[in-house]
Formats: sequence, C-alpha cells, structure tokens
Amino acid sequence: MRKLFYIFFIINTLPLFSQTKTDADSAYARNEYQQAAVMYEQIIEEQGISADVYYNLGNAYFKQDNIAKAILNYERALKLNPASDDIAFNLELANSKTIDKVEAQPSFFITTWYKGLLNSATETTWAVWAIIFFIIAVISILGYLYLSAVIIRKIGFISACISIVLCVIFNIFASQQRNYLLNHTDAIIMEQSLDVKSTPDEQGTLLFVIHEGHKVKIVDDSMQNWKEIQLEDGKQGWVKSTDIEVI
Amino acid sequence: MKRLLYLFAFIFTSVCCWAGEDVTFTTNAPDVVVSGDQFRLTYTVTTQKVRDFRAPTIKGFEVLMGPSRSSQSSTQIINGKVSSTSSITFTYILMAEKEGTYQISGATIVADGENLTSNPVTIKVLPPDKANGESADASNGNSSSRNQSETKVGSNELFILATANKTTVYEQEAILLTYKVYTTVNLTQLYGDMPDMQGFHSQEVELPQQKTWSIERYKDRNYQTTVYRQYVLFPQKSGTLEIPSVTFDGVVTQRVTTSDPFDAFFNGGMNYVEQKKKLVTPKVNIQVKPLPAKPANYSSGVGEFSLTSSINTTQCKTNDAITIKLTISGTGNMKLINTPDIDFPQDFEVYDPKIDNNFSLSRDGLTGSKTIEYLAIPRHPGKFTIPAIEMAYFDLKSQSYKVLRTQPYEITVEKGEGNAEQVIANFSNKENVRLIGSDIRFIKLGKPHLLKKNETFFASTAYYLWYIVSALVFMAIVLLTSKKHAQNSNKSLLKMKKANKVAVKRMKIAGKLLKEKKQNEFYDEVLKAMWGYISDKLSISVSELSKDNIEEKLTQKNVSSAMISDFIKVLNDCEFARYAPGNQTEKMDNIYSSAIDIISKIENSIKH
Repeated sequence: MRKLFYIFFIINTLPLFSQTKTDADSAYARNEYQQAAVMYEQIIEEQGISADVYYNLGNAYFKQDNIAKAILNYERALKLNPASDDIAFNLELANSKTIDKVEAQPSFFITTWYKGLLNSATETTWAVWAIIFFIIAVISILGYLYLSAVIIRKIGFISACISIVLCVIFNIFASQQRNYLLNHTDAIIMEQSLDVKSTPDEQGTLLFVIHEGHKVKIVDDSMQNWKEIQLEDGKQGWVKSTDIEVI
Repeated sequence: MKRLLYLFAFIFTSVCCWAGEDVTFTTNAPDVVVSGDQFRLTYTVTTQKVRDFRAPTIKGFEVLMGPSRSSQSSTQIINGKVSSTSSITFTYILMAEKEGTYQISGATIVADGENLTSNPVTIKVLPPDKANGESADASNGNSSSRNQSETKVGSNELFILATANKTTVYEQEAILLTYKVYTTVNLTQLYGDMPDMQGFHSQEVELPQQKTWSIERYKDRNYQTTVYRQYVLFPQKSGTLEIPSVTFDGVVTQRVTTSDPFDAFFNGGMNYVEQKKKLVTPKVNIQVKPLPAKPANYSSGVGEFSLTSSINTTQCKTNDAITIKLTISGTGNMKLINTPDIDFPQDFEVYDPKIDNNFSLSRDGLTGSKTIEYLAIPRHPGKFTIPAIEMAYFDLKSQSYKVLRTQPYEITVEKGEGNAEQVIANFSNKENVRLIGSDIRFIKLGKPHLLKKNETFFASTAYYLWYIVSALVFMAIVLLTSKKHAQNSNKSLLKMKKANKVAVKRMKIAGKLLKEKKQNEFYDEVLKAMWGYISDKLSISVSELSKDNIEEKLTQKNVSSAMISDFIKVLNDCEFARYAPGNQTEKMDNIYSSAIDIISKIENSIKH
C-alpha cells in the first residue's frame, strides 16, 4: 500500500521536475514571477542553458525586484548571445537600478569598435561563417586551378585570397568569443551591501563598500572561500566567495 | 484572602512612613567652640503635638540655662492653598568647660504619638587663646584686643592658606585646592585675582555667597576661618607642578578709640579705621606621576567610570534613524574624556553625536554623567553589526587601566517604502531620469535551443569535421583531377601521335584532288596537311608558325638539317607551284610524293 502511495507520489510530482519553457513563459505572462523564476531555474539546472531562458529568468527576477539576480541572468544571457538588443536593453535598465554608480573606463575607439564587431555575433555564428568562407576558399582555389577562362580564374584567385583571410579572422573572432564564454572571470555582487577587505580575512581593513548588482572582475580565483575582485575603475579587494556569483 | 492582607499591610505601612517622614526632630549645635564660650544647643521638632521631651545627659558642658521651650507656627495661603508649618524648639545654653571632643547623644520625644530620637552631635572644644590671657569671655577678649591693636594687623592675625588635598597624584587626577582664610580680626573685604595655574585644568567650586565662619585652632591660636575659594585641578602634564603664590587684598576694619573729646562726643569715642593688607599665599608643589603606557582605546579618562549603552531599535527600515545612547557616569576628569567613536557600518549616514554633560564638581573631580547620542541613518537594507564600544580609563583605585565595554548590536534593516535611495541615486545619474517610467522588454517565447554549460561550437568535433571534410573534398577533387590533368598535359602528345594520321588523311584528300587535277585545291590541302602536321607535332598553334621557328623547333627536336631544309623546300615548292601558271600535273605528282616522303621521314625522326 505504502509502495503504491510512493509510486503515486512520484508520478504526481514528476511533471514538476520536467518543466518546459512554455509553462514558465505562461506563468510569467500570468504575472506569477516567482513561480516562473523557479521553473526557469529548473530548466537551466536540468535541461541546459540558453540565452532566451537566462533572459526570461532575468526578467522574472527583475519583476520581483531582485536586481542582483536579474543582472546576473542578463549577463549570462548576454554572454551567450551578445548581439541581442533586448538583453542589452534590459541589462541597462537593471543596472540603472543598482546603487553604485558604474563609471566605465574610457577605452580607445578602435577597441570599442572591435568589441562591437566581435559581439555582433555569437561564437557559433563566427565559427559557421569561418567554415563557409573556408568552403568558398576551397571552391575558389579549385576554380582557379581547373577553369580555363582567364576572368573566372582571376576571380577565383582573388576570392580565394579574401576567403582565406576572412576565414582566419572569423576563426579568431570565434575563438575569442569562446574564450569569453568559457572564462568565468566576471561576477555579480549578490549581497545587498558588501564590505571589501584588504586581505582575505574578516579582520582585514575595510577598503570600500559595494552594493548588490555590481559587476566585478575576479582577479585572484585561487582561494576557496575568498576571491580577489577588481572594480572597473581599478580598485581591488577581497570578498567572500559566497557573496558573489560568477557570471 | 492572603493577598488582600498583604495589600492592607502595604497600604498601612506606606501611609505610616509618609506620616512619619513629615515630622522631624533635629539637634543643632556648633561644631567647634572655644572653652569658656557660651553656645546654644537646640532641639527642633516640626510639630506642635509633643510630649515627653527627654534630653540626654550633657557631659563636659555646663548647662547655664534650659531647656526653654519656644513654639513657632506659620500658615500660608497661596492661591487658596493652605499650608501651615509649626515647630517647637527646646533650647539649652551651654558653656564649654574643658577642651576636648564631646558627643551629645540625641534627645527623645513623643511627637504625634510616635517616639522620635534626634541626631547626636559632636562638639570640639578648643583651648582659649593664650594671647587673650585667661579671659573667660572670648568675645570680650577679642574686642579688647581690637581696641589695643591700633597698629598694623600682624601676619599671624590674618592670613590665607592654600592647601591641596593631595600632593602626589597621577596625571588627570583631581586635586582639591582650597584657599582658607584665617583671621582673628574683623575682615570686611577680600579680593584677588584668580591664580594662574599652568599645567592644570582648573575649575572653581562654587561656594555659597554667604560665608560661614567657623572656629579653628591653628598653631595654638583660635581663628575664625572660612573657605575663601576652592578649585578642582586636573594636572595636564607629569612632573613637579607648582601652584604659584597668589596675592589677595584684604580690608580689615579696626575700631579705634580716640581721646579727642569732640570725636568722642560725636562718634561715641569709637572710630572705625579701614586698613588694607596684602595677603600672600604660599606656593604649593604637586608631584604629578605620569600615567603608565596607554592602551589603544584610551579615552584619556582618569577616575572611576561606568559605561552603559542603549539603542532605540534593532529592526528598522531604510532611512529610519537609529539612535545609540551612551552614558558614561562616574567621577574623574569627565570633561576631558574623549567621545568614543562608534564604528558604524559604512552604509550608514552618521551624524555628529549629541553630547549632554550633566556633572558637578566634587572633591574627587567631576561627578555625574555624560550622555552621548549617536544618530545614524541606514541608507541600504541588509544585516549590520554595530560593534561593541570600548573605552579604557585609568582607574585610580587600582592604579591600572580598565576597559569598559558595551554590547554589540545586530541591526536588521529592511527596505523602506519611501525608497529614498533611488531618489538619491537619481540626482547623480542622469541616465536614470531618462529611464524612469520605462519597463523591461518582454520575455522571449518559443522553444529554446538548449545547450550544455560551456558547450561551444568552435573547437568542437563538428567544427573540426567541417574543415576536415571540406579539406578532404578539396584533396579528393585535386587528386581526381590531377590524373585528368596529366592526361590533359599529354594532349599535345596525343596530337603528336595523331599528327601523322591527320597528315595521311589530308594527303589522301590531296591524292584525290590530284586525280581530279584540281590544282589550287590540291596545293591548299598539301599545305594544310604539312602545316597542321608540324603544328601538332611541335604543339604550336598554326597561327604562330613560320618557316623560321619551324626550323628552330625542329632542330631542338633533333631533326637533321637536311630533313628540315627538305621540308621547307617542299613548302616553298608548294607555295611556288600554287601560283605558277600552266599545267603542272607532273609537278603536282612530284610535290605529292615528296611531301609524303618528308612527313614520314620527320615522323620517324621525332619518335617517342
């Protein structure tokens, strides 16, 4: 009898474990943000990640006024899909609700331009383009080698050169995007108010205070319980690893 | 029942106490008298209903009179409120006989049906002044001495002594410095500047305006004394500090008897002469010991203190004020105690503390309490700890540092409704103003393309496969076509192989034309055959061929020069014959046979 009950129980609870994104989306649409957030979290936990799911989860947290988690998920979404306008917009909105003023260091215009170009497509897109150009290059070389018409051969030669260069460039882009995706060096402050110490110790001198939602860079990841972080203006200090969440 | 009983008992006793407090029974007598002096001993009870007054036995004094009973009563009506006081006083007039210290125990009385006992008094009897001789009446003696002393007031008749209650102290330990006037003459005025005490923080003790004089024996002489000024000093540095001598100006009124009859008539023979006298107090040296090595959180307090703290709330919302009240109470250099700093969390907006001093001077320094109110406003939600406040002071009793500590407070700050932090943030952030009223964009619907964490296409197997496959395809195509290419490169060889066949074909056509005697067509065909043959054989297009480069190319192909010249001769003959007039059947036969001959010869010589 009891076994039967257990089985019944398991069967009953089973659908809860396999949430689909559609369910979560409809929960969000019904303004049940908390439930939607739980469902999205489960999808990420059990099924896999996606820019859209992270984005929706960020939205669900934003609606619950949990700015830190919203920013974290927007950042994760943006990492997977850097070209998305919506994610960038919502992230900016969430960032405007944080306490600390984020003063981005001015960068050289070429760097900005390059970053913009790099982030205009995901790692997969760049890799696919690289492959396409590789194939074009192969075809062009073949055309150059085996076609007798002089014009076609000239076109083939030029297109082969261009395609090979583009293939290399796109591969560099793809590899950089991949490195960015795999390197978990950025983190979001999850504590509402966090003391940053000079040493990895509770007794360390208090250097400055940052608030939830602030994006920081992890400089020293070697310790288990403490991480050395760096702000965008170059300030460094130690925080407990439980107080931050890696993007 | 029992409770009721207790209640009754409580009410009853409290009423009794209240009633009992109303009636007092006190003894009054001077503290010091000179033997031979008369003085009053009075017992006062503040009620009219008395009986059974029993005075104690008065030893050491001679009762000259008493007890005499006098009663007093007064009624006041202020704004219709009637209050009345009444008292009965029993007075004895006593005379001191022998010097010494005597105690008179309290008298008993039944007042308002209650037994009351008055306080005992101690009276010190001093010996009479030797200067005044054995005069029993001290006051008479005094006046007579005044009469006699027309000369200056001596330094032993009026002087001021400066005394410190301690001469060896620690830094910041309070010293009571007293300027006491000793006089046997009628001192009417006394003034002087406040002493300039370097190295001390001084505070004057406020003395009653009306000086009370008392008799004190000093150096075998009875003086009228009073405390003129009193200071509490806090030494600010260690070493031997000197309280400098101070000069006071005193005015003494002396009664002078004159022998002038007119004067005696108008002034009754008496005259008062004012005499000024400079009074110089002695120096006082104070040994000030330095304090031992100071601890870190030393508050510069010396004395005896206690520390209490309170907080108005430990659970609040953002932008609500938190007040911590710190009370330092005790005795010592209260004024100089540093206000302890509270390490408020950085997120708190901290205001200057409000300090409320409530202390008074006493012999041991300042006694009372110092209340410090710290006001802080948390601006952000979270859990915060306000650490314990530590205050070290030098305890004079144990002569060591003691640390006072309050308890730390855990504060939970919730997000307030007003959300002022955003308003604050908006001032500094222009961007926020633009974004107010906007909302996040809606979620993305539809099926997601779920990936595993850290899964990338770049550098994945599929990625490499694409390259490998396309590279393989490329190589396959190259390999496949290379054979064809090789064959293609043998195309000229093929042509060369075919050259003879083509030439033979053409020669056959030429043979036909020879039989038909078509002269022009015959020569054309022969020339075509020869040129075509040599073009194929040398892999040179017909257009590029000339007689010169034929010669050259054939030489390269190791064809003998005789054969070359034969070949060119046939070509020349052909061209020559073609435009020559007349029948040339014979010649045509010749050229035909020689062309076939030379082609077969060259064919044989260029063999592969």
